[in-house]
Amino acid sequence: MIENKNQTVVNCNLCGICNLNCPIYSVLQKESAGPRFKAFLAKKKEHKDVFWLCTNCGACLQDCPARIDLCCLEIRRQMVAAGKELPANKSMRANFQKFNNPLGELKKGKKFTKYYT
Amino acid sequence: MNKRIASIVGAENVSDSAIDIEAYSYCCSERELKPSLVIWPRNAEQAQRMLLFANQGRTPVVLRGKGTTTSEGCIADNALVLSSERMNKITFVDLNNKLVEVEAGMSIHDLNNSLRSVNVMFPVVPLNPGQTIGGMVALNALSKQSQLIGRVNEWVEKVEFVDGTGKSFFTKKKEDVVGREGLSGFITKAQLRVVDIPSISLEFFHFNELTDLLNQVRLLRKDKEVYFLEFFDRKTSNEMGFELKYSLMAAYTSFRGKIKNAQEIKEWLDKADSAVVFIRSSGYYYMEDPFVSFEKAYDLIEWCEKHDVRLQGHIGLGAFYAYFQKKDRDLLDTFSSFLRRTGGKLGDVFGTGIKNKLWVSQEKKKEFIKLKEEYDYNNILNPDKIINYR
Repeated sequence: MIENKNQTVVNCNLCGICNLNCPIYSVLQKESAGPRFKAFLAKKKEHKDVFWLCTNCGACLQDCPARIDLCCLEIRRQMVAAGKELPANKSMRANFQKFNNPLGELKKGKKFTKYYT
Repeated sequence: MNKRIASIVGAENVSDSAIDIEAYSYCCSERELKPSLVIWPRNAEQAQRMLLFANQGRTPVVLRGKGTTTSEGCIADNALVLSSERMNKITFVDLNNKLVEVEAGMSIHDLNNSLRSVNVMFPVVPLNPGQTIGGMVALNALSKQSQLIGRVNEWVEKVEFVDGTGKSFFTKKKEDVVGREGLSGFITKAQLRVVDIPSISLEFFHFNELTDLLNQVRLLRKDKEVYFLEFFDRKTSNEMGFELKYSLMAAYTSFRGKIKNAQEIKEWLDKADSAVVFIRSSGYYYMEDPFVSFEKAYDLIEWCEKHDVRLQGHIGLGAFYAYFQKKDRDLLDTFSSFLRRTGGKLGDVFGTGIKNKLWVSQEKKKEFIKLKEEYDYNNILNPDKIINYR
């Protein structure tokens, strides 16, 4: 079972101050993209794909009155272990393994075979 | 219906996905009510066409900003959510006349951050900086500065809103929409008066006895130079680094306060703002907004201290924030009874919504019914909020 190791999330009363600083929320402008929704889900121990919508910048923690750390990275790690992974993340991991970069790009002048040696 | 709505606001501005429905099922309260569709209009015209469409189908619509209310005012079962989140631009600035025109979805935090570069600010800054301008106008928000400058209605010049029949107004007749919690219309824009960022000085007072504190407040309340008065209970004062005494922070519009240096003032104001952090992070979960007359402030503070309820607030106005621990959920009802006995009320700061419906007087209810008849005869806007209409 996926759990938020930081138990302070139960103290979240959904004031929404975290959304103010969140770079993802400021671009997408919808509640489901912001940290408050993640806290709402984490409180209910429901871990959905929105946990991948996080840059891990920590801006949500900065002004949080209850000092709640969402621990998105840890939740994602557990989601991967539980097989709840997004296709984009799968291909990113595969690219790291094959090409040493997340985008799967070959460096100019390098031979493709080098990446398999 | 979704296709028709998508043709009005654009497919990217409407969602019925399970994740969005869940995300708009809560606000800053405990209750969850699931809507049927979430719509983010980009401008007043889209909002107008949306409400016209909803009125034709008698579809209930719940109006929402950033969902920061604790009074369950922006959630509803099986309703369309009309969210102002994507209407967040400053559309007009007139620095000579100190006027700004802002779309409803912009938060007060973002507005004042944007205005800082031109050395002006909107002076009414509520406890939650995430509140949108639309929400503040709809609630007629109050802040610590309200002691001197009044509530939001005194700083609103004109309001643009769309009523329940899809008619758009840009009016100076603001009393029909300010403080009406969206029962008469969806606020799309507001013309606000701004001020130069004020120079203030600060002073802290600490008291062992509550009567001494209240005597000091009584003196300062009459003082025209007092910008605001903030009260902190003993435990909070202690956590802020003071002795275990009641604390009073007084801000003056003159330089008579002991703290005059701008940097020091900023530090002290940050410290005062951190009170809520100390309280919330030590497990005080529920938050209420009791409002009592100054004569009853003694009883309120004493009651809260006796029941281990943390209290801070704008003592000069009689508006407080009371924080309850999670284990004290049952104490909330006792607190309501206590407030009734003292002639106080809840919902003056965070709004009435559904949660504080019982605190609405008959007189107020009649006012709201009259408004509904004028602007939203079919009762599609925020049904079940404040009154039971039709």
